[in-house]
Amino acid sequence: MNALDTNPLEVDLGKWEIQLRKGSLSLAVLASLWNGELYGLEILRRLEQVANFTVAEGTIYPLLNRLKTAGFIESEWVETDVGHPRKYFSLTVSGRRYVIGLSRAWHEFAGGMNQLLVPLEARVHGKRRAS
Amino acid sequence: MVSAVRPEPLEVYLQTVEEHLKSLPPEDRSEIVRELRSHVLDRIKGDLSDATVSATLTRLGDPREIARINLRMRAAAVAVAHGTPLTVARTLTRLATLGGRGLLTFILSLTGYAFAGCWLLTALAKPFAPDRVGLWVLPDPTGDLSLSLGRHGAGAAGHDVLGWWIIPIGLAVGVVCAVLTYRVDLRFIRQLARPQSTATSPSV
Repeated sequence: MNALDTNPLEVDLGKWEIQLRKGSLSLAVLASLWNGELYGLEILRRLEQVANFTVAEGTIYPLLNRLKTAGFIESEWVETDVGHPRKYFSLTVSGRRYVIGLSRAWHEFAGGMNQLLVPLEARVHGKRRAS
Repeated sequence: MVSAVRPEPLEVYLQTVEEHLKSLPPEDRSEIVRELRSHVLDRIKGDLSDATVSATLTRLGDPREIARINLRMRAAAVAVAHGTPLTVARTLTRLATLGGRGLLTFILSLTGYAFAGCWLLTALAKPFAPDRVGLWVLPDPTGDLSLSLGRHGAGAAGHDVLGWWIIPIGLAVGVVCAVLTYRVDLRFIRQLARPQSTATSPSV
C-alpha cells in the first residue's frame, strides 16, 4: 500500500491529474502527429518522452480508431524491413484544423491559469526542491 | 523482407482477443488483431523468447479487457460520428452487454422512450377514441393520476382532466422527453468514446 492509497488529499490530486490528462489525450495524440506520420508505438513513445504522458498501451488503438472515425486522422499499412507491416497514422486536413483549434484553446486556458497561479510559484517550487 | 514471425504466446493472446470481438464485422476484428500483432512485434524488437513476449503481453493488458475496450470505444465512436437516433439506440443496445453502466443507461433510456411513447400515442389516439383516451384521474382518495390509452373513460369511473388538450400537451411532452432521452444517451456514449483507463498518471 502506498501513500496514494492512504492520504485522501493525494488520492484526490491523483484523480484530478488523471482527469486532466484524459481530457487532453486527444490533443496530445493529434499534436504528436503534427510533424508527420507515426505508427502506434512511436506515438506512445513521443507522448512519454516529450510530454511525460504515459498511456495504457492496449487502449491507444481504440483511441486512434475513434479519431479516424471522426475524420481527424487516416491510416495506412506499410510493409517494413523489420519483418512485419506497421500501421502509420497521419493527420487529415480536418485533423490539422481541429488540432490547431484545440491548441489555441489550450494556450488560452493555460495562459490564464498560469497567471492565476503566479502567487503559488514560490510555494510549488520550494516544495519540489524540498522533496 | 524478413519472414513473418508468430510467437506462440502472442498468437494465443490474439486468438483470445478475437474470440471476444465476435460482435464486430470480420474486417474490424482482423484489423484489431493485426494492429495488436504489429504493436507487440515492435515492442519485442525481434526478441522472440517466451519471457519477453509474455512480459509485453502482460503490459498490454488482459486480452478480454482489450477486446471489451475495443468493442466499447468502436461502438461509441460510430454513434458519435453519425449521431442518428437509430445508431445511438443500436450502440446503446451493444453497450448494455458490455458493463453495468451500459446496462443501466440502456434501462433508463428504455424508460425514457417508453414514457415519451405513452404521451405521443395518447395524443395521436385521442381523435380516434375521444371518450376512452386521455389523462385520467381515477376515483382514488389519494388522487393518483393514471395515463390511459385503453378502456378508461366512457362508462368507467374516472375523469379526463385534459380533454382535447391532451393532443398538444401529449405531443409536446412526448417529443421533449424523447429528445432529452436521446441527448442523455448521446452524452453517455460520448463519455464512453473517450478512453476510460487510457490516460494514466506519469508514475503508472
